Amino acid sequence: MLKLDANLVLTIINLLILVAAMRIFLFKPVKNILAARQAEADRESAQAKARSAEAEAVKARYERTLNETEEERRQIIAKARKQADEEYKRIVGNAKATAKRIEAEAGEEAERTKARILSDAEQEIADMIAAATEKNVGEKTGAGIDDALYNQFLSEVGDKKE
Amino acid sequence: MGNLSEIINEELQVETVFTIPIFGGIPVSESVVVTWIIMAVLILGAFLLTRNMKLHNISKRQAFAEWIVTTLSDMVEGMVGEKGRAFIPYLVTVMLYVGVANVCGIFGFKAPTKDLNVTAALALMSILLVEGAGIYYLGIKRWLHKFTEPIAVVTPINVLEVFTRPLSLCMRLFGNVIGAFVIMELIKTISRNILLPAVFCLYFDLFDGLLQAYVFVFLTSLYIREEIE
Repeated sequence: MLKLDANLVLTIINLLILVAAMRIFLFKPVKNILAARQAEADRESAQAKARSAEAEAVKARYERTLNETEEERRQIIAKARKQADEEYKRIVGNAKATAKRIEAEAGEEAERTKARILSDAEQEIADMIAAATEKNVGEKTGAGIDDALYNQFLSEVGDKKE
Repeated sequence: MGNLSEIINEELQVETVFTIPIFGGIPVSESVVVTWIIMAVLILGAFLLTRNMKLHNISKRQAFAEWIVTTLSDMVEGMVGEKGRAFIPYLVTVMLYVGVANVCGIFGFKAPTKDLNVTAALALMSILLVEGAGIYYLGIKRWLHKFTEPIAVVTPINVLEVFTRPLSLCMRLFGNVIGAFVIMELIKTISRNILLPAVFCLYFDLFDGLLQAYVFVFLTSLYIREEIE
């Protein structure tokens, strides 16, 4: 029971064999499968990360495009507004000029018409006076002529006025 | 009473099963033969458990194999430290072997750990591993210097530890198994029914057997960790 002999050496050999066998049949296969699983998990994780980064990039690009579009839209609107403003000013300016021109022309026309009417009236008055004078001179003399002339003139002018 | 001591004596005797006829005859004891059986069981078990391992949709068998390896490896790594990872397979194997050897009495085998040769061999391996690890990780100079730490006065005690450590490992395991066996035999003799031995068997054969396997590996791991850190 309490003696050491060759069995000690045999036990050591047994132990070494057992350790080697367990390494081959238990630890190595399990370690390999765990390592493979870990590798797969790492790979998947890396892939997921890459995909996430890609998605982020796409999102950033999209946002940039969106911002650019917005900027462009604003510029277009501003430009259009400016153009419209200029057009408006131009049209209004033209209209004003035309109105002024028309007004001036109308004024001139009125002046001309007035002058023509006046000259026509003057001519007519002169003709009437001449006609009245001719008539009275033929019929009366002296103060009678004067009265007759005067009355005829008045009646003719009154007819004209009516 | 005479009957009891006869039984205990007979159980404690390590029979030579056969002799290998070389070098003037090497006697092969029962413990070595039982060790072979245990080895066969462990290796066959490992082989069957790790057959057709898959990456996904693993079988219960594979899950059990992975559980054993990861649980025991993590446990031993906690004791031996990150730096001593290389020793994990050895320590786990020793734990499995001592554990099975201690409880194999339940199945009618004579526990190999009841033979001093086996526990001495285990302890010898442990101390060789400890000192080997020290030399490998520290280099001979630092390994030798470690004997004078923390102060030079303790050098003899440190040197003595090289011998006392394996001796205590060996004797603790051997004594526990022998003690548990003797107590169990006594209980079996004095007990009139099966209940009392059954209850004590749970403690002495199962719990103590597995506990001693754990303690043996725990101390070896601790020595290794102390040596390499």
